[in-house]
Amino acid sequence: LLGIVSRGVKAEALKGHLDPMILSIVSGGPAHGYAVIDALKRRSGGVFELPEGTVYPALHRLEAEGLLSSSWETTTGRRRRVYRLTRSGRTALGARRSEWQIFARAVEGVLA
Amino acid sequence: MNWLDELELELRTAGVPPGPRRRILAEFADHLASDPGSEERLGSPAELARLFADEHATRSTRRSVIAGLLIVATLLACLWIIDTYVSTSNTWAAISCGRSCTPQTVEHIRQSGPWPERMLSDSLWAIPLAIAVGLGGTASALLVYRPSSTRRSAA
Repeated sequence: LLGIVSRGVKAEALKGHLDPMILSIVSGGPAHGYAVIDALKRRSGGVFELPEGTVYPALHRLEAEGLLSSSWETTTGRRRRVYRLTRSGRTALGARRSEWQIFARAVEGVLA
Repeated sequence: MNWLDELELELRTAGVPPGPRRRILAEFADHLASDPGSEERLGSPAELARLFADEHATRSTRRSVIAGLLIVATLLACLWIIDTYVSTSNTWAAISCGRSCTPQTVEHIRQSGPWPERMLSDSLWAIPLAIAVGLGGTASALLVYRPSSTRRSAA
């Protein structure tokens, strides 16, 4: 039960932050779903206890909002949906980064 | 029943249309091929299906609202064209459009020249225009509203 509660809290804490993190990962170059999840784990040091599958609905949502585009590509005989950052996505990422820096500085100022 | 079969069943139950469903399953199949045995880390198929269904419903609602607005705008444009170019050019059309046959209307019709010719030329021009606007608006609304399964991104 403790494990479930802990996962719930951490997933809840991620709300609103997953989208900019995905945009940031895809800004480094085209990536398929598994690569995005892998980068998310690697770059966060494995801190996020998010069910990995929830990244896919987020990718679809970001595409529907025009922040990502995607297409099927065949690599090493396997068909993969590859995501790319759009111009709007780049602008949105810049805005979210600035917002986050202001927010993080403010929280740091209060907690320190 | 494996994890992918379960996800397919849950997506179907949640009402995710066939096009997006195929795409979702293909993406998860690729994920599982890249990371065998990761089913548990991916999460519950029911919960994932719910997330996809919510996302799809949000998009459908947005598209329905835009398509509805386009239809209303098209109807208004058609009515405006007919009202401007047809109804004022002759008495019968004016009456049929519910206008009262006021002295001003009659004077306007008289000043507009030999009305049968005027009516004929304006009507000939206006009706195809109204039809073209109507068809254009309807086509745009259908393009906005078309199901995700027919969109290129879902291919």
